Amino acid sequence: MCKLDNIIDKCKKGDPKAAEELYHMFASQMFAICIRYSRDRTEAEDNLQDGFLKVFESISQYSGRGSFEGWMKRIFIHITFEKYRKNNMLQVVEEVPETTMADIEENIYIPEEVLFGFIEELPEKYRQVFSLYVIDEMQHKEIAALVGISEGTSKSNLARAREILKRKIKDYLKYEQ
Amino acid sequence: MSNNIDSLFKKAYQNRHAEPPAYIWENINQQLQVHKRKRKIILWRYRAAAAIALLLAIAGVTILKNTSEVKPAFYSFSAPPVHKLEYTLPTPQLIVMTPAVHPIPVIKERIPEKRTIFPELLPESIGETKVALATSQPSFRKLTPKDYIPLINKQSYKTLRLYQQVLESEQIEKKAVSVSDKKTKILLSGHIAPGYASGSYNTPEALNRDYGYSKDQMSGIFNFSGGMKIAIIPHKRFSIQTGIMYTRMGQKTGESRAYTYMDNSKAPAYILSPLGAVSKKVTHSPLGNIKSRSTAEVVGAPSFIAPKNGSSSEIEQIFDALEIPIAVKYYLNNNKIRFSLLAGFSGSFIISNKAYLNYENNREYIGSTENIRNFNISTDWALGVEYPISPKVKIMLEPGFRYYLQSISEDENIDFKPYIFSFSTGIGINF
Repeated sequence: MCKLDNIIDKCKKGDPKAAEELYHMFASQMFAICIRYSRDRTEAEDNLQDGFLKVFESISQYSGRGSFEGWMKRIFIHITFEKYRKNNMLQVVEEVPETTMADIEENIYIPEEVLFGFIEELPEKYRQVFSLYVIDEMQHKEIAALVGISEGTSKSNLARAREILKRKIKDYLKYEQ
Repeated sequence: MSNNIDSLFKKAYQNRHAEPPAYIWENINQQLQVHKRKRKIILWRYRAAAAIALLLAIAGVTILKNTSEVKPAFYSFSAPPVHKLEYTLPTPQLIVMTPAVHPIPVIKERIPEKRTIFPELLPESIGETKVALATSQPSFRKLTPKDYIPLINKQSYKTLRLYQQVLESEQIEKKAVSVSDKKTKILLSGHIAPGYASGSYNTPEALNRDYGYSKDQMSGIFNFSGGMKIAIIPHKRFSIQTGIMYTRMGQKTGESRAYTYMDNSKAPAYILSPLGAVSKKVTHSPLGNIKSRSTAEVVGAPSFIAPKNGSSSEIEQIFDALEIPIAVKYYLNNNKIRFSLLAGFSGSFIISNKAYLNYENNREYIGSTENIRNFNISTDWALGVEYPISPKVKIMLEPGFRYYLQSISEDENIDFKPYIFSFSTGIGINF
């Protein structure tokens, strides 16, 4: 039995030391997810706390099938979007003209912080769909249920997010040259 | 076409970690301890309820057993008609029953003309414990060995004991009168019952309702009920009762969070709970959404509001009902203090539905819970004790348990069946 399985087993029995160990093992990774889908850092901290409480409360339901990290990730994404839906506010989404911009080249270098900045600048709905689809590898059906939009809207939001990002990357590369 | 852009971002985010502040773990740890304590309290409540139920059951069985020993009616013997007895226990001692000393009419009627009872059982020799057969002739005659039969089976022995009790009892005539008194009686009673109300809560797919919560965040309320009952007593052992009762039940949901305006001008501005949060003036709760009627409002941007530091709020949902019970009561004994078992059903009409938010020693009315079923059916169980303070008036105590047979919410995702432990005290008047 590997170390993680051992910790999970102890958590199921309510061992507080194992809970602390599990928290420190995954906190930074899950906090990155919370930040990605929360409006601000304070909300992300709340979501991290609620997410871990949910994990400890329902850890006995984790059967061992599939990756534990994936199971946890889903809990945090659900918790974050749950709060998002409750505080749902209307947001003006920038209309992006339909274009067929050529794809970017394969071997380009852009610093990570710049890429993160591009994502941050995306309108919220586009950012959510793009991140869920590309970074967290979720399907449109699941994204639609999570965000509260239709599957078609999820697909079009993804396409528009890509268009905006391409434009930003091309502008950046042009400026750098 | 989009693969390059996707892989560029995926690679960048793959190893992105962010270190959370240290106090997050402290908060989580604190909450875990609170949950653990609450779980223990709930476990103890269940154990206490089980112990009370067991004690009631043992008391019931004991009383029933004691009662059944005296139960055989003196006037309908199926035992062999051994009527006038003389017996020796344990050393030979002659006891003679004569109609003049103990006039029991039924027994007298059955006195046979001749000694024709169990002739085949008459022994050759005389046992240590013997029963002498009586004759219709006057007593005090000298008995011969042939007048004795041994106590050869349990029924004979029981019969002998019953005769012994008849001889020793001075109450026999009174009892005979009470047995034959079959007139239907009516008992009118008033009751007040303090108690504890909570509910069994299950939700099959919590996430479908947009919010998660756990059972250990829920606790009951101390409640009370009261009203009038009328009992029709057609038989000394049974009564059928109905009436009208007012009952309060409810549920508390802890660890909700109150948000307030940053300038503290009003409170609360906004209600958020791990079990349910406010969304457009609706507070979600395990028992259903609460339609807000308070000054609470949802503001446009989260920057206008802030959580109250360290404060934890509680949503309290209270339902008042008018109930019409119908129950059968079985009396376990026929002594001065009478014990009884009661079982039945109640139909209850919800007449009031209120929700409050408790925070920082404040209690604010926030509205009513949606989708609450107006008519519910419950089952009632109780152990009754009655003590007469005069021939007409009696004090009545009834520790009992009520369980609702259907969910109080009509929402298909909510299964909340209230239950109430109560200790009813009342005064009854016989008519």
